[in-house]
Amino acid sequence: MNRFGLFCTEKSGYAVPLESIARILQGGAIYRLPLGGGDCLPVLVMADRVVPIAEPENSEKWHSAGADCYFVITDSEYGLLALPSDLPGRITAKGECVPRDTDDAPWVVGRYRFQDFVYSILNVDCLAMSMAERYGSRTVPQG
Amino acid sequence: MESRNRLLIFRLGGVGFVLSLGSVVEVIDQIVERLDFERSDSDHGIVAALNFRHTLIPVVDPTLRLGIVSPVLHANRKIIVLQGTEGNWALLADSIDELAVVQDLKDCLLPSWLSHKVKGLYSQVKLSGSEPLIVFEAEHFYGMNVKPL
Repeated sequence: MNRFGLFCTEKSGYAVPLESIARILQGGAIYRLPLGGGDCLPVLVMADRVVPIAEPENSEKWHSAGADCYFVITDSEYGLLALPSDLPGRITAKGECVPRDTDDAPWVVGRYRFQDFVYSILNVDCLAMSMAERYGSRTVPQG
Repeated sequence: MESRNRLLIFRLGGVGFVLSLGSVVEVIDQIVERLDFERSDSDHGIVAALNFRHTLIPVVDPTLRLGIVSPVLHANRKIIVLQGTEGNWALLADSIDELAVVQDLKDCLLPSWLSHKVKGLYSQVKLSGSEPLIVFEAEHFYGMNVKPL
């Protein structure tokens, strides 16, 4: 039976397979690293590592995250990736998996229905790859 | 303590940077009357010339190459004069924070895709507490090998 970590942001609920979750952090400072070309990547630091923060829904609310914000730290093929959450989240295996909608983002691989609420199941590898490609496609002049 | 073991922490667009004190010639607070903005080369990020010890030296604004925006008015920015292989040059900073000792800052790992993305801007990040500070690599901002913006 699949177990999922469930968490919510301002607009949506997300489900991440439990084996992809490395840790859940409460609060913590957000920093930005310049990428050239006008882009800055929001990051946090965990265990002496820079952890990019993903924006699955382009929400701006967590940009000023304080102690009341949580981060679900996931372990992807592209390294650690932090997903912002408004609530500490919960772990469950009692829900029901249903197919994704055709217009879902490519990193949404299905839906998870639990207690009258439907969560988007995230493929964190796909989400991280999307971030790497989005930012990585803009070249930096090489010095 | 040797200057190469000490680091200068400065800020640009809200981002923290560290620079080896061994390459710093002088830090200048009052800059307006000493800058000639007519002498610029925007292709190379040079925004002005600075009259420094009776010589005009180029002033580079790293925000142009980094793609960040400084919230600080030109008049309130600081100048760090650096010693380079082609002579002195200067960079603009929003503020100068403090000095740190190399041993007080921890190494910080970047994800490999991010390292690849920022190649040409920076390659190392140090930690001061939990804050990542970018190690300023002068060769990416001024010199013969720097490509035009």
